[in-house]
Amino acid sequence: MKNKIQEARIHLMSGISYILPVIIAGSLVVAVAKITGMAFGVSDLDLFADKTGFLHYLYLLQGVGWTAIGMMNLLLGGFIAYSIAGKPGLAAGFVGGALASSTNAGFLGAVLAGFFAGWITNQVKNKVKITGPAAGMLPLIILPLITVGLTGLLMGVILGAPLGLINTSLIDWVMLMSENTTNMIILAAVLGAMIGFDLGGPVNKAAWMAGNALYLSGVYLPAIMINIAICIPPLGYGIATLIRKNNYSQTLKEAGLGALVMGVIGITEGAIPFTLSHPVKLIPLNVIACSSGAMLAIALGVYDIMPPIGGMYGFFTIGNGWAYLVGGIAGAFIIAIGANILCDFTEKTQSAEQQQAEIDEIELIFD
Amino acid sequence: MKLVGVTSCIAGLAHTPMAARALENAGGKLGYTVNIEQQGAMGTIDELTLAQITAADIVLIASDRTIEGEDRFDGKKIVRVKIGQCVSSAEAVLKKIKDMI
Repeated sequence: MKNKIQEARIHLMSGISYILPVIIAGSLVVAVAKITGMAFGVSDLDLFADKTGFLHYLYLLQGVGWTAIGMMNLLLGGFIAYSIAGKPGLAAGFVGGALASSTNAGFLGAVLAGFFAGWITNQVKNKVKITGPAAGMLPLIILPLITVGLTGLLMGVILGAPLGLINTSLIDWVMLMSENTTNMIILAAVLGAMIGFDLGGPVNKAAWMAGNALYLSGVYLPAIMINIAICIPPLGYGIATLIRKNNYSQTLKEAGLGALVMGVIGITEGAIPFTLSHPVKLIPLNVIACSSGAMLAIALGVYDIMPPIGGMYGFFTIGNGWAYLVGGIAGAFIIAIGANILCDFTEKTQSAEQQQAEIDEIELIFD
Repeated sequence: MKLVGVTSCIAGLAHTPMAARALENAGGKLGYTVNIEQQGAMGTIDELTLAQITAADIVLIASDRTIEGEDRFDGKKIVRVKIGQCVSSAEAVLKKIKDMI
């Protein structure tokens, strides 16, 4: 059972790794168009849909970004299936993912479609055998017909309506919750803590996915909380190496500069080399810092105005952007100061015992 | 020991190159031949050659996702390791693999 879950996680993560550039590109293009529009005093570019001139071009540009964002379910379904079944899985996965969009089944629907498409493709590949002159029919006609047909039946006819209902009620619920600041602060605390817990590992990506599922449905506040939390650990350790330089080994000093950059652009993984050197003390510190930073930003009144982009510079896509910066920097300083007080990062030679313990901890799986 | 490997993580930005570099450095230190292919955000870096794969005693895969071209390693001995452990304790990973083959 554990193996099955592990395997499923790998397929889901593969799918996500393919759609990351699309999400990021889409939200950047929308942001560029919207901000240029705002510089001209226009907050809603949709008003220029039927007009001519520069603002109409901005409206078209914004449409390019939305097109990218709109492809997300389709691509996610396709690439999850690709991860499971290779190239033959793509067609059914894409169709299933597209149906998840058109039936409002959303992100969850796309994930389900991808897994089903991959599974059914493997079934057909393994069970249906045609030999002789008609063998060529299998990959080009029979396999796509069965896989796309069944995935389409499942997603479009059977599960479309119920999944759509689940998805819309979930979004309505979050929307309702977001009218209450206390609830939002609690949500920020939880999502922030999850982001800080394993820096790019499964818990971190679970929070990230929750944020993205809502983002796809036009609910942006949770994604904003996550974006702040993501910047905090690398930024924090980067600042920490600047505050007390002689507390760090040469390697970590160099990693510190990298971490600063990763903090600014929003890659939690930059904090890994530091956290790994003293995980027992530093994981709780990361959790507290990410959680407090995200809570502070929400408490100070951050709100959503457009699809947010990640990184510290993402503040200009957010209402009350200053509060976003304050939350991020405050969280980073919790880490910067806490890490220097709690831990010594200079290089130490390991005892033979420690080396043996390190070797014992490593899990090797032979095929 | 001759080892070839593939590293790949979800975003393909941080773990992938960090693990690859850590393994190659550790290999140099311990006197093993280590060649690591990175499957990251910009596609494949340092792609393994057929000669490297053929010569290798073992194939290491450290990935959170399905890797590209796993069929290249058909018939080779494959070991899977958590990519995080390759970043933090590359030397220990290589020593343990060496002991087990």
